[in-house]
Amino acid sequence: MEVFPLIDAVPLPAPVVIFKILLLITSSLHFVAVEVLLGGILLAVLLNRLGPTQSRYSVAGRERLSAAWVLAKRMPVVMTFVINFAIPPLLFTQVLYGRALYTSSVLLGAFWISIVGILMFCYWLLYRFAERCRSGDSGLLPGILAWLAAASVAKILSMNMTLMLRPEVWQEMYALSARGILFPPTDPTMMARWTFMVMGGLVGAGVWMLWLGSRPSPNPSVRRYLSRVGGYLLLVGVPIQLFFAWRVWATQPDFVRILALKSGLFGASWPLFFLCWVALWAVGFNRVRWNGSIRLAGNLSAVLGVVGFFFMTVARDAIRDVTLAHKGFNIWERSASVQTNYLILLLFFFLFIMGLCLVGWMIWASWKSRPLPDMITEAAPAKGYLVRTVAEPPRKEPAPASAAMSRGAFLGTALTGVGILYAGGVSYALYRYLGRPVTAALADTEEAPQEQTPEGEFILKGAAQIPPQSMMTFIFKRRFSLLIHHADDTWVAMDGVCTHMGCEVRYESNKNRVYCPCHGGVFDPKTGAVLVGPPKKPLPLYNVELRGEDILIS
Amino acid sequence: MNYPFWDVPLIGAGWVIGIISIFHIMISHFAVGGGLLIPILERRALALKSPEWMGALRRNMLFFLIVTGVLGTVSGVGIWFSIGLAQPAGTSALIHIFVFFWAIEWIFFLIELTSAAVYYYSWGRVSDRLHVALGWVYCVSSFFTLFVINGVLSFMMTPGEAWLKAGTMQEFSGAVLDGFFNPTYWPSLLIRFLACLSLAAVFVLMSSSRIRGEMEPALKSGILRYLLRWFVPALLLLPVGLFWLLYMLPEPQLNLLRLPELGLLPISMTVIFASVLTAVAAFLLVWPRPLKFTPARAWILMALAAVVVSSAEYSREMLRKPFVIAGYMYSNGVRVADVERFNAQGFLTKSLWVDEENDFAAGKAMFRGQCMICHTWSGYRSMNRLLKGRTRESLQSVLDMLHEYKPEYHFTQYMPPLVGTLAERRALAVWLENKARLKVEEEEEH
Repeated sequence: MEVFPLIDAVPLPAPVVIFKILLLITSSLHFVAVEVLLGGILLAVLLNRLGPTQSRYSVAGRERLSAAWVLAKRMPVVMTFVINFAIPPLLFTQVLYGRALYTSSVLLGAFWISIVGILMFCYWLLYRFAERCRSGDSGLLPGILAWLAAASVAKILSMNMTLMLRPEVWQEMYALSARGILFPPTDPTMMARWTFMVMGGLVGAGVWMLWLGSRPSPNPSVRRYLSRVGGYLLLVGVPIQLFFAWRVWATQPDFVRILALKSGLFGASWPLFFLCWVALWAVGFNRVRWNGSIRLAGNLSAVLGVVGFFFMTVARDAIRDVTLAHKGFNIWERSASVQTNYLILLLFFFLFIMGLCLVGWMIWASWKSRPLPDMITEAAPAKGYLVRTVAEPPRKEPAPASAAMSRGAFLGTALTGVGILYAGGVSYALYRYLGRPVTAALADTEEAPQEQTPEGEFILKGAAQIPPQSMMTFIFKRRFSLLIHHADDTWVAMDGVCTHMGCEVRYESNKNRVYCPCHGGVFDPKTGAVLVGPPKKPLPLYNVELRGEDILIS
Repeated sequence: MNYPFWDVPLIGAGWVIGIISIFHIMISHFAVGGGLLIPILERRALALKSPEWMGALRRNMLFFLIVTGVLGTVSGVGIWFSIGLAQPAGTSALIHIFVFFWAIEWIFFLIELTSAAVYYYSWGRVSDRLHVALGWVYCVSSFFTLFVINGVLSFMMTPGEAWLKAGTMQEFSGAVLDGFFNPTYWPSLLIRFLACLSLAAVFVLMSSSRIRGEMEPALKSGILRYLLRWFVPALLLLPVGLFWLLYMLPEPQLNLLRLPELGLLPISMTVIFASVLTAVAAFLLVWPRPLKFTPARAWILMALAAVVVSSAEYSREMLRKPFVIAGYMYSNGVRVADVERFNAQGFLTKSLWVDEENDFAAGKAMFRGQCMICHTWSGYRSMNRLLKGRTRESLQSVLDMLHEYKPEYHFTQYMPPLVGTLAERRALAVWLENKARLKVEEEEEH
């Protein structure tokens, strides 16, 4: 039986291979920007924090703060390119893999759309962070929050990119809820993918710092410092990311590993990725150990980083293709329905090349412009903690009543409001999903006093006094459990943990049912059998014995 | 029902697109219009050799960069995310048809963002000539993002006879340019461009309103009066663009204006009156006493401009009914070409999204697949309200009418047909009846 939605009726406007090449190139550029962002924020936060720990006027302290500023002031621009370079991969992925991607996106709808809010929040935090770093103030809070926001977007993306490969769980998720608020069932590859991306930030930041350090600057000491830290980062980051690359591989199902090894694309790409990373490590080692050329290290690491991320992208893509092909969706089969429009295709490539040239020219013009000092000096604004630590107590300068400040304040307030609303919304959704509403429902039911017999049985003291059509909760063998006194004076004790996803169930006497509030599962209050909903297994029953006013559970 | 349905309670998935879109349109139009105003204002500042003008422009630039680069970019991606969730079939069709146009738009977008950043960060560090040139790069690239996306948006409203006739597999790709430069392409482009200019001008008016008149009188009056030269004509020309667009619309869509239940005529009239009113208000508020132009007055203009833009966008969306791509795909994702097949073989036959094999599940899947793109159960366009008091027989007769889809029925002008076999339609009736009954019982319980 078909497990994927049908292919779109409109034919592909270009051969699959064209889309594939474009997808791989643009995805790898996106990943480069993502890794620079994820690693760069953390490094900037660290340097910004560590700056004042040095002697307040020491060169080292100023270098750290200055290096933090050099990184932080570029973060919003890096973020812009993260988003911009995400557009073409998403476009080409929708063309090639739409039947899988649309489906998984809808199933994660609430999370997927939440990316929009998180990105805006992250952007704003990055501007705040850069401003704090510029003035030499502590940017810990905005920096860490920005990193968390970026990492959570990465998490949602990796969740979706994994779910699109798992048609076997789609229908189950959809049957539970069409609102897109459910996390997919656990999959070992999901966490591995995310940690691989996050740890790649160390390499991304290392490459970026080496490259920034190699650019001409009026403050060579800061640049040298950046380059040196970049080298250290590569020494640490490369082995770590390779370890997590192995984790991604090791968590793949057997069939994926067997098929991937047979795939020429994968077979060629992973060794090249590995070689690039080893070479990067060597560049870092040369820079740190033998104080090698800054210029060479910068250029070499940039080339190796971009090329290495490209091969990583190819290997990742090969794993995706073999997984989907094994499950019945081979993207190369679409070659049969291709209607190439060469005019549009040529126009695109012409504009693509021209556009890249124009972007290159603008970046070149910006490099050739009069450089700004990178160094935070002793003449830095008085509110910077570089100076504040000397003698002055912390103080806020009154804000000048300029139009720019008012707008900044307005924007800040508006975005804070949006952020709070957003955070509130997400927290509420998480609470509704993860929380156990039954706890509140049970607040008015008392938990039975209990004691354990030497035989391991439980005696619920005075439990026999509860009226008919009511229940009592207790913990039996570390499990949340229910004791129900039925209208016909029978007693039933059962496990109170839903067999579906582990929520606490409750007895609803007016409807004479045991109900799970998480996903609507209904159980028979006498037998524990499943009556309605997603659970497949019944609730286990316990033996009940009346002993005067007490009840014995075993 | 090829894809699963995203159920957004109360407002429906359509309004998720709507909310993000309205926000994005305000920002992106501001970005495009600002693209033109920025190099023009900088040239003016250089011609006047006025450091005050230059200073005011530079102060605005960071605000501009953040608003367009952050809010515009992210909300633009947000629209894309939301249409993929709410309307995967329509999004998939559009992306298959226009993938390279979108890719071209991305190139211009890349140039736009790079030029905006370089323009801002190179201020005072490169020659004036180069700086103005960077401003023009921004201006042209942002205009071309509009040029491209306008083709896709106007295509959805009027793909044109040429594209629709060639809509077979073999000739599809050849007709894509006909679809792109469709009958309403140029009037839409004019309207959007004028809206861009108006919004950019109103944003700059707003920020200029904060200049202290008593401190810098020449600067304030100079900038404000100069901006009027762009703002007033753009707004006065907007109704011309609208009339041109209406003139180019095919008869069935023009008829939508006459349907009182849609309320499109008053909304379209609102666009005209509000734009003229905004132009007059701007002139009266600024020209006689520019130094008295306060932020509160600027907010009045901003609110009026928002009315113009949002009612124009709403009209455009409604004029597409009952389609997502006129003549090709209905608003619920059912292709016109598939209607007969679905009626004969079943709407749910190959669907993966029917929970169980029973009538109840089939009815629910029919409802989700064909109705819920426009209706929610108890919120926006509430089915609960529409169905109140109906018996199963009356429900079936309504559904039969929707299925027969005779041209004389009024609703055919704005609602898609109900497709599917008799059994599927009956299953829908049963499900609707049960759902409505349960709701009544629930209300009575409370």
